[in-house]
This record gives sequence, structure tokens and C-alpha cells, in this order.
Amino acid sequence: MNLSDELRSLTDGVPGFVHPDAGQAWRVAARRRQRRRVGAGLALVMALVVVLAGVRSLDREAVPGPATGPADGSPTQHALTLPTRIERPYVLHNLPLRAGRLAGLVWSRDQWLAVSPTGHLWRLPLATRRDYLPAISPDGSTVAFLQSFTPKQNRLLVWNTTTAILRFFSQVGTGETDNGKLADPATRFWIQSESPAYFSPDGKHLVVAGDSTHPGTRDRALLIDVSHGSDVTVIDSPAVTSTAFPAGWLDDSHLVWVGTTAQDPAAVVATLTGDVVRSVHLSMPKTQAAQGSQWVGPVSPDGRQVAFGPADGSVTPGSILAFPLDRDPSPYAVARVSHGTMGCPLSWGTSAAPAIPQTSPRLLSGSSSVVADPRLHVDCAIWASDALTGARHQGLAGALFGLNTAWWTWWWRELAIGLAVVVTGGFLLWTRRRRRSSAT
Amino acid sequence: MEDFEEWVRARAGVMSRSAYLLAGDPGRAEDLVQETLTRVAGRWPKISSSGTPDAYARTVMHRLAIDSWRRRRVRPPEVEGEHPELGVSGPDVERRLVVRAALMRLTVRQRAVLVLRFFDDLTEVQAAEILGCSSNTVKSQTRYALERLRQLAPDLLHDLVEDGR
Repeated sequence: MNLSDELRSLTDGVPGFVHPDAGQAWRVAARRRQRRRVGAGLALVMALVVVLAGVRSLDREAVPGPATGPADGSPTQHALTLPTRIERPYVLHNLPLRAGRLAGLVWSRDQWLAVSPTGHLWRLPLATRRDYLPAISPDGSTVAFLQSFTPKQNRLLVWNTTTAILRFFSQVGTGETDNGKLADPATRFWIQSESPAYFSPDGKHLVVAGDSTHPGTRDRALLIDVSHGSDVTVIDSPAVTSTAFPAGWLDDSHLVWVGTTAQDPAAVVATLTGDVVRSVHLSMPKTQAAQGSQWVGPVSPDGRQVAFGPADGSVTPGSILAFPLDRDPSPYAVARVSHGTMGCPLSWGTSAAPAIPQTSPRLLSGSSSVVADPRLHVDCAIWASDALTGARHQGLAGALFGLNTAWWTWWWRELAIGLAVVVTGGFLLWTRRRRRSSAT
Repeated sequence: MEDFEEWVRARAGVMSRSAYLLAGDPGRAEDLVQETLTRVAGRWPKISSSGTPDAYARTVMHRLAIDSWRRRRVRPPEVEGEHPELGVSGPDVERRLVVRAALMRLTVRQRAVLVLRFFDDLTEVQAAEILGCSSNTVKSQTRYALERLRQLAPDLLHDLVEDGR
């Protein structure tokens, strides 16, 4: 026998012991095909999600890490832009230690959020209630806000988001009492609620209406040195006024107070030690019953005007006034507004007119328009001056939709993913039907 | 699916035999045939329309056999004892046992080459195409395999020459 015969002889009886199952093979093959299609569809969806997330991350301002900062530790500076659109994030993270300069701060869904120059949102960790307003320096590099560890324990945090230097002022709190005693024993100075705080132009000092736990007889303010140490000084309002509130900074060494004198409301320029430099009487319109309140201010970046809102902090049509500080008496200029928001300070970009806060979707109107997803329910926005005067950041969504606030412009990511899923599913169904029809 | 089942009924016997020569055991041969049929079924519309299901199945089976042998970390021990598929008794049974034992001492690639050349009666070029190698490799593997068989079963296979005749 040759090898061929040997092999055939060897296998003569084999078919009786090997029983393949055609039906089983067909079913298993069908299951594998289905799994491959589902896997391909999932891979396509995942790839789309990754691409969209990547596009979204490109939209963010780069966060400078320690390795990329200047060797001498000086702040890392990036150009400060104002975002065109603020989208609702899927996941909200706390503000990173070194987030870079910020464009602004917003109150959204019961929390204070920081806004990056590209419209990304971060939570201000442990920031306290809506009525204790955070502050942002003119260049967007520093934020200050009250943190609440428990409902009764608070401290002031001043955070430089470019150098990642944090300064805690445990002696500054809300001053709330419990049964006649201070709720937080560490408090020695308290910040008045519903009072805007103002950074000096150089960002080294912060002033806010408040007092120590041993109050004086006059309206007072806290002057906080945020550049080094933990100095907190209480300064009295100028003696020429009966009531007065800090309205901002004329320059790095002079404050502007707005209050009531014997006759009229007045803006008083004083040194940090309380020496009055000059006093300007404000010619209020007869229709405006303004006595001055903590909602006065801020002072324009060039120190030449002070904005003046209504006493209750509400913004109603035609109610924003701006007074020049270099004339006495000072005539007013009216900023026309269509609607506004309660209890939210104004912001200045250029010294032409203050930026008036509004509720979402349009947080600002005019040439510095910013729109935010209505689902964020933003009802207060505080902006850094440099952001309001900086370039506009559009990003992908801004390039696609501009200032359009139609509902689908806020749901575009979800719509894109849904469309991808529908297209993928339709393609899989079509190929399946095509194979079935060709098999039969 | 009906035409697939019809094709399986027609080719099951031949495929079973080839699988047995590659695997050496009815159980492993059945697994090999079943996996081959599953893969053929997965591409049935395309390969049946091209008219080459036999060639495709043969290619799949041989490559599966070689791949599965490579993947095994520990070579399973040869199943000693009874081989009812070779018959119950008689001189043919003894002869088959010797030939089988000699075949199982070859590498699976050498067995594959011998099955393609001397069981399926394919040329060196056709065998090379199925195994994914050159025809020179097929030629050399055939030579080594036949030499090895002569050494393993000298009484039965001493006069095998290059063409296996």
C-alpha cells in the first residue's frame, strides 16, 4: 500500500464516530455575526463620544501645571477671553488648584461656579450661600469667597488660581449668632450679607462691607490684605456721611464710599486710613428714591465713574445710573436695561458703561454678550474686567451657533450622539436584511 | 440555510476523515469539523456565491488545526488504549494503529502537508496556498515528514518515496 491508501484505510471507520451538526454551526455563526455588529456599533458610538469629549476638552483653556509655569514662580499668564457660550457640563468638578485666570463667577443651581475664559465651569468648593457674594480680581487671577464647613463655621478663602496660593482667613466669617453667642467662635470679623466685595486694581487688597465682633459706631468695611499675611483691618466710613458703603477703588490706595450726607447722596474718595480726599454730591433724579445701599458701585476701571443701582439691588428698566467722580455736583447717566437680576453686582469692562447682570440664557447683553444654557439657571454673573475687555472665545459651539439660544443649540451633543446611534442601528439593520435576502 | 445543510451532508464524511488525520482523535476531530463549519456558515452567502466552499473549508480546517496546536501550552498526552474508529480486530487494525501512531509523532504542520498531498491529492502549489506558505516549504515539509514516517514505522512505511507512493 502506498501512503494514500494507508491514509484512506486509516480513516475508513471515522465518519461513524464524528458527527458534525450543520444547524448548530449555523446558529453559532449567526450569534457571532450579531456580536460583531453590536461590537462595531458600540465601538462607533464610543469613538464618537471620545471625539466629542476631545473636542470639548480642546475647547477648554489649558490648565498650566507646575512644570509649565515660570521658574521664578510668577503667575502663569494666558490671554483672558470672554466666552461666548457657557454649556452645561455633564460632570461638575471642583475648581482645580491652578486653573489659570478666570473670566467670571456665576450662581447656578444653588452653587457658585467659576467660569473659565473658554466657558468651562468649575464649582467653588464649599462656597457658602447666595447672599454672600464672591469676588474676582480685575485680571481674573484671584477669587475670594466665604467657605462653609458646617452651617455655622465659615472662613474667607482668597485663592490665586494662577499661582495656586491659597490664603485662609479663619477669623472672617458671617458673624451669625446662636442664642446670643457667635455661632463660630473663631470669627473676629464678619462680612455683611448681600454686599459685593471689591478687589483693588492691583489685586492686593479686598474691601467689603462688614465689621469686627466689637462693632464701631459708624458703617465700616473690612480691608483685607490678600497679597501676604492674614491682615484684616476694619476701616470706618468717612465722617462726612451718615451711612455709607464701600463702592470700589479709585486706585490702589483710595477707596470710594457712597452714602448719604445731610443733603444728598454723595460719593466720597478717601485714603485707606479714612482721610477724605474729596466729596462729590450725586444729583439723583427725582424719580429715583435712592438712599444708597450696599449695591452701590463698583467704580469704573479708570476710577472716573461710580455705578449706582437701586436700593434693593433689583435691576429694573432704566434704573442703572453712572456718576462721574470728577465733577461736583455729579450729573448722572442712565444705562437702559430691559431686564436684570436681583442681588447681583454690576461689572465694569471698559469705562464706557457697566455690564449689567441678567439671568440665563443671556447673561450679558450688547457687544459683550454671553449666553448660558438655560438648564444652568444662572441668575447672577460677576465678571473680571480684563475678560469683559478681552477677546471673545467662540469654541466649537460658538462657531456653530453664535449667540443663538434655541433649545437645540444647547442639546447639540446629545442630538449628535443620538443621530450616530440611529445611523449605526439603521446601517446594521440594512446589512442584516440584505444578507437575509441574498441567503434566500 | 438549506443549501448550507445540503453542502454539509455532502462533505461531512470527507471533512471528518481529514480532521481525524489532523487531530488524531474522534473527539478533537469533531470539534475541528464543527468549528470549521461554523466559520464557513459565517461567510456562507459570499463563499457559496463564489463557488468555492470546499476550498475555503479545507483552508479553514488546516489553519485551525495548526493554530490550535500552537496555542496549547502543554501538549495533551496521546490517548492510549482503544481506538474503536480504527476497527475492532484483525491485521488491518494493527496496521492502522501503527500508521496512526506514526502520524501522531509528526508535527501538525507535517501531518497537514501529508493530508493535503496524499489524502486530498492536491499539488504542492495548491497545498502551499491553503497553508499560507511557499511551495518550497511544502516540498521540504513533505520530505521531512516522509523521512520521519520511515523511521517511525520502518516495517510498514520503509519504501515510501518522495511522492509517497
